[in-house]
Amino acid sequence: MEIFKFVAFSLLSAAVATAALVVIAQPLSSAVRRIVYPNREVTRGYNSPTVR
Amino acid sequence: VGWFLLAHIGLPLGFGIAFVIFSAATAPDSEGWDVIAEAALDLTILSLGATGAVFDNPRVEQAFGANSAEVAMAMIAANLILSAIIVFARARVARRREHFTLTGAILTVFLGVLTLGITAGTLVWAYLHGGS
Repeated sequence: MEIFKFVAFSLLSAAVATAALVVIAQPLSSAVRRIVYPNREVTRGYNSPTVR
Repeated sequence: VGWFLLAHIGLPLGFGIAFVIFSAATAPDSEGWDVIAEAALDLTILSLGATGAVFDNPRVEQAFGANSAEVAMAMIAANLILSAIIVFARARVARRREHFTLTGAILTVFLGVLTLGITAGTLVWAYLHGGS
C-alpha cells in the first residue's frame, strides 16, 4: 500500500516540477538568447518568435 | 518529506533549468517549445547515467538485497522506454518540419522529469524503507 502512495506522490511531484519548468523555460531561454545572441531580436511571443 | 521534495521537485527543476540554458545558448534556431523538449531528453540521459551511482550506494543494496541488480535493470528499462517516447515525439516533429506545441512540450518534459524522479525516488525509498 505504501508503494502506491509513494508512486502517487512521485507523479504529483513530477507534475509540479513540470509545471514550474514550463513556466520558467519561456523567460529563461529568451533571456539566454538575448545575452548570447544580442543581434537576434524576438518580436513576437515565445511560441512563434520572429527574427529580425 | 524534505528529501522526497528535493528528489522529485528540486532535482528535476534544477537540472531542467540548466538544460534549458544549455539548449537556448547552443541552439539559436530552435523555436517555440523545442528547447524544453530537448531538455526533457537531457533529463532522461542524466537519469540513466545516475542509475549506476544510485545502485552503487550500500544503503540501496541493503534495501533491495539480492534483487538490487534486478531492480536497477528494471529502472533502466523503464527510463529507456520513457526516453524512447520522447525520441519518437522529437523525431515526429522534426520529420514534419514543425515545432513542439505547448501540450507536446509539457508531455515530453513530464516524461523527462519522471525518469529523474524514478532514479532519485529509488534512492529516497531506500533511505526511508531500507532499515537501519
